[in-house]
Amino acid sequence: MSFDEIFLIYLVVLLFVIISGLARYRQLNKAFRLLTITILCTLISEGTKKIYGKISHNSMPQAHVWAVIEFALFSLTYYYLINSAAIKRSIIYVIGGMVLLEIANIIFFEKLTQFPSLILEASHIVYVIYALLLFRQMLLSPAEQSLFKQSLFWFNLNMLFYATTMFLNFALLSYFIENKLDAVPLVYFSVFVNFIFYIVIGISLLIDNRKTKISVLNNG
Amino acid sequence: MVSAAPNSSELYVVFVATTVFFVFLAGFIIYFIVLYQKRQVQNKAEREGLEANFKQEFLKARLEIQEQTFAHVSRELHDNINQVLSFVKLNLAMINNVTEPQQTKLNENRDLIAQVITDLRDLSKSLSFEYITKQGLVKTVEKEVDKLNKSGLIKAVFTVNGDIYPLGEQRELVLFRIFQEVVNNTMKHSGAAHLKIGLDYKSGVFNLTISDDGVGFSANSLDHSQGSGLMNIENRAAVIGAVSKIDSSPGKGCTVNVHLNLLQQKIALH
Repeated sequence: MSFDEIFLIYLVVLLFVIISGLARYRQLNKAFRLLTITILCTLISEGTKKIYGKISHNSMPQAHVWAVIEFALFSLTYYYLINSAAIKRSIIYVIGGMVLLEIANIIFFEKLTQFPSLILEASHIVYVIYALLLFRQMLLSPAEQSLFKQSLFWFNLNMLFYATTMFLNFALLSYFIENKLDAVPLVYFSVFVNFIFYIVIGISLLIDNRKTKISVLNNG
Repeated sequence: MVSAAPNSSELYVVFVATTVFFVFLAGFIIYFIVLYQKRQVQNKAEREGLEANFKQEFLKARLEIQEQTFAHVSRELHDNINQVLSFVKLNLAMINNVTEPQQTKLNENRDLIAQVITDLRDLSKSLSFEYITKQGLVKTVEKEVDKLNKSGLIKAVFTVNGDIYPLGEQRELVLFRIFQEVVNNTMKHSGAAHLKIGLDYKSGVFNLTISDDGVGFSANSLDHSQGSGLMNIENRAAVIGAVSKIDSSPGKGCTVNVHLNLLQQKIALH
């Protein structure tokens, strides 16, 4: 299967996730509504990145901008999921910090024409922290509902899996490239992880219900 | 991408590190799931405990309010209405210069007022917390049974088995209120001709049993007021840690049993 075909399937998966999110938009809590919008933005970004790449042969400037926007959107999703006011405040600061880091990154480390790996790596580390904080919150005030029926659990587990695995993937990728090893399996692996990530997001959007009493959710 | 011969020892390290990473991730997820489910069970038990406590406290508060109301009504009957009636009776006695038929009517009215005064006094006593706790459960129930028999509406038999021992003011008061509720229900709905009341004092275990030979009922056919009456009995019993059992079927009368295990309560307290 060529990369173009895989990319097309990837877009279709994103589309299905968006449709399931939009179809249940009213039933979703605030965080998952924002998540639906994030996936919609992802689809637009991926599509335009491809077109921009074909025209200018380098879509990295857009990747730089999207890396920060995506981080901000996922951070805001956690902002609505986490109850602690101090952590909420920290999330806002972290978003600001990430914008500054991106500016520094463009100026000092990775130019606009280069892949924004620094921002993505930093984002993944922060996602892991967010996920662990949310797991802690879930443990402190467990809901009555079965864990496996909680959209929150699937979303957070997904984020933890995605962030840690992609972090590992990036590390291995740079090692493989540095040692001139065949990195194609890692590229396929990252595609596979991305597919899992968006499919599980779709599942959590399908099972989320703001009317369900989930004690850890305070919004929506 | 460029294919090159990989350094086998380095690749081995990479492979082991990746495996360790995924094992650690899977371990963390399993640990979280187990811990979360444990917390859920713990939380549920705590919540149920709190709910039971709240229910108990709520019932106690309700009964306290009810007792205060009863005490107020009892005092009003005794201090106010009974006094006024006694004054009316005295006034009637002081009326002179009346004809023979008028005197007969006056005497009849005086007798009626005397009867009302006696009934109100009895009612006042049956409502009074102090009176019930002072007299004790056995004597209070005995007096109520006498009243029932005197009324001629039902034939009541009262038996006491075992050596009587005090159950505690609160428990005796609640048991008496249950007795009143059952008798009230029997008189209103059962159409019974006979009523048996039994107090059974065994070592550490007390039973109050009230049975009638009325029309009986099935639990499904109860209307709201009857249903809430039975619920009242259960709730009151729960407040003193007793268990009530209502046994009835259409045409076969009704038996209410309140079982109080004092030994179990002592063990629970310790």
